[in-house]
Amino acid sequence: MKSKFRKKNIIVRCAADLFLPLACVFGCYVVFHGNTSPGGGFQGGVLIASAILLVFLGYGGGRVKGSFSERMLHSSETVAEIMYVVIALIGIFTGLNFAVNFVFAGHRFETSNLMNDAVGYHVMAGIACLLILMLSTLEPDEDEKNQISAEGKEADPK
Amino acid sequence: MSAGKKLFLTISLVILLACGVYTAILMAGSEPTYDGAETDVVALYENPQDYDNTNADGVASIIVNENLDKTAAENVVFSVVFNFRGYDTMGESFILIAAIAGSLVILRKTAGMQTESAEGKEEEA
Repeated sequence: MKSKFRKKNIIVRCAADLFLPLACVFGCYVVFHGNTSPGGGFQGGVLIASAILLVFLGYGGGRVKGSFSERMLHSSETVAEIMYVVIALIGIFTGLNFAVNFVFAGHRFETSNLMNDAVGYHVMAGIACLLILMLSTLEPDEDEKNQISAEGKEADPK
Repeated sequence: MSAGKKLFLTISLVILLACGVYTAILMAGSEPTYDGAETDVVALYENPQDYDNTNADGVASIIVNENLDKTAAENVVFSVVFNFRGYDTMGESFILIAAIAGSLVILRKTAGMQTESAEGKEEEA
């Protein structure tokens, strides 16, 4: 019974709980402030995707599979790429160049911000999909196996 | 491959080749954008901060000198990455898609094989 509650070390789990929102918020900050500060879509997307590793460290591979949908992430990656190409192609259809600032010309906000957000979404989904794939090839450790078998034994008599 | 597909492929490739040849002829006939005739490399190397680059020609001087007029951007690096080199960023994104699709094919198969072997062991036991 005790092994059911002692899934992972509590220090690792509390540290993961502490740093998980920080990683997500800081990644979003880097993505949305890419036009004025160092960083941008690629770096911020990888920062957001590192939340998967924190979940894996704190709660194990089974919780990662239950929390994130790999198929959904892979399709949203394609959606983000289509968003980038469409936003960049509107410049050509208005008679200007590819990826040119067309709608908000003269204002402080520019169309590159939208392209930057699309790249951040794309990299976040792609790296998260890659991390889930890599973590799914790892074999579950002994604590997790014990818990899975204990859950199975408890569920069978009922 | 059927005859219709072959015909379609041949026609599309011929159109692409004709467009490429026409563009190459146009590019060869136009004036060169940068020949480096007025660039003093020795002065630029010895004292790069005081070098006068207002009369320089070529794409690099346009990017440096007329950046804010052309893009209305706040950051020069950001406008280079997403405005002047938008094709480059798009290619990087497609490379990421290709890499993840390749690893998806390889790693998904091994994961399925592992679960199948585990199920087989359970059945044997």
